[in-house]
Amino acid sequence: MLLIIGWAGAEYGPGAREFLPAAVAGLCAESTLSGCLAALPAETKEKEWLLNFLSSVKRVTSIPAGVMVRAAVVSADDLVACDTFGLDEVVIIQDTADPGAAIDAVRTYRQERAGAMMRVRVWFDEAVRGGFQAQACAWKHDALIDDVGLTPFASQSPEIKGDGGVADRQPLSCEWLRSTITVTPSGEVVRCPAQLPEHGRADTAATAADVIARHASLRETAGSSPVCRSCYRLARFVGADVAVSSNEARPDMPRIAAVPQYRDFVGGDLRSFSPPEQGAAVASLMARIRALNSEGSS
Amino acid sequence: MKTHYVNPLVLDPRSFPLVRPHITCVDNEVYFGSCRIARVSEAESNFLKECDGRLNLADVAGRAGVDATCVTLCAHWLLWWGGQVAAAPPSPPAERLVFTATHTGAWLGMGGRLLLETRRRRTAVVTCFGSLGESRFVEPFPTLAEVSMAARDEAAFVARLSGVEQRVLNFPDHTLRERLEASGRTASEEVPGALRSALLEVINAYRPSQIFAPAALGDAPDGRLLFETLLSLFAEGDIEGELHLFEDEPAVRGHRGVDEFLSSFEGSYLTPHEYYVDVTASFPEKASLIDVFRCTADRRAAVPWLQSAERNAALGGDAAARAERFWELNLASF
Repeated sequence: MLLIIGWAGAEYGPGAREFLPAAVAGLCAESTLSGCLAALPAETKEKEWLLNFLSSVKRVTSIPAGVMVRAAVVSADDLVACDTFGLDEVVIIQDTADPGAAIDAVRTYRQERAGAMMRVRVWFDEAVRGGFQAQACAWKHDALIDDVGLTPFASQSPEIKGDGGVADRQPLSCEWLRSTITVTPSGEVVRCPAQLPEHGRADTAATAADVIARHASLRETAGSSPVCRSCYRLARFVGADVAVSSNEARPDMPRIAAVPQYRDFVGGDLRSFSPPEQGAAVASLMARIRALNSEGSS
Repeated sequence: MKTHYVNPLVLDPRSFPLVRPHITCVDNEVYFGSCRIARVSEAESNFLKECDGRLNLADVAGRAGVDATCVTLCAHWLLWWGGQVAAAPPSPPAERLVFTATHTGAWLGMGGRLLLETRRRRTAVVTCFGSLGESRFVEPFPTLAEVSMAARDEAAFVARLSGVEQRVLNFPDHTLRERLEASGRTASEEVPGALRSALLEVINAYRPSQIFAPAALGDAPDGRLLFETLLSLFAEGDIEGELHLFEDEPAVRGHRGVDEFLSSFEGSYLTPHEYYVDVTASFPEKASLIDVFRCTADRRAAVPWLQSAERNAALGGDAAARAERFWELNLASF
């Protein structure tokens, strides 16, 4: 089971420093965990603490550990530090912010740590809508990151609301809940990142046993949650092993022809016309170009 | 009847060029999806950056300081639109909801009507299955995530062109559901119930006066599931407005199955009232959308649904050259 700690933005205060080591040690002792992904905090000392903690988790338990960080705040120093502490991966969550600085950070990190094994991947937030390919292209070709995908949960305000009035007791299965434990740094156990509280509540877990008990309770009562019932996220149906794991290559698809079909040039476009239409299209195009030249740009 | 495909090579100074959704220019390199297809000059790169539908060609050319050669070299990466494209979708809540299984379904089925009526009738298009999508290109969209992102970009692009509001639900499509079932995932069994809850929530949020859904014509499992879910909501009184059905794929390509569809209402207390909408005026724009859906659609594949529109016009019996077919569901009078 994957342990998710926070999502976009998290604080690791005294409560977190008490809760997380005890909880993770207990969960690992019971062989419950297969990996750990934690939100990187903004504050330097908290960051140091988290990286130290994840490093020790990895060293002691051998489970993969990584951090999630927003593209708007990631720096080359962050990436170098994660590599220094031996983390397995960094997930950069890209929202509508300009990716330029984050791409530069990755390039700088790659220059400083040529040959580093730490995996860097990018998840695009829903807010990028309409610009996914432009962002993906920039990341793939400027930062040489091939592992790009959609984030399983929005980093900004969750869209799933539920009407609050439905209290259906029918059982409901959720692959995300089956495959992950999601906690806040201070120990609140929640069903998924879409249900992280804006402000912490007092009702927090203190030990691994508490975490497991509360997680089991959440699984049993998922049917009573209107938020779960109206959830349309893919993560609910495929779970973390698909939604959070590496992007799956497409199943074998028959290619239309040996010639690469992506060459989207005028000649290719014209091939879909009949010969008379081709001639007419070219003539029309040239006439319009001449007209444009003679009109100027006004 | 003769079917014409709209000429995409229009270089009218008054038309509004937009870089197609799959084309990206990074550091003077032009990419189709993930594949580099050309190196361009600084002037061409600047020109492409200006082509976002807010300025017409004459203004873009003046602003970017380009000549006709530059425009010609970039022309095939552009979509040419007849009017200015708004930067953001309209803010008032939609009064018409169009549910579609795939991001192309609603546009192929009733795109002409959407383009005609959206400006006077606020519309939201809700794509329900967003997990996989399909693409005929392998190299430019090498992972499932990238196909899905390309489909979302196409949906957002066409929403911006037409002024509709766009929402995407992310239910696993039938291909993924089958794979999930094969791997023993029980959550896939939850899809019909979860879809029903999500649709109800969207409907309650908008309180639309009209809802459009794909008619269950032919073998399209996602469209059929969507149709059946909305039909049951309508039958149980959860939909207060009108429920209209449009021809989705594969019916819109000519494989209709209309008789079978209509026979499913025999003995029902619901009667589908068939009607046609003349979309002759907006059809050139609808046809040009095939270039927006380049990741999934092919110009050759457009021919059957262009013919379908002509056939609908003939069936409709009035002076329309092209029409789209709909059914409105009413309570039967026994």
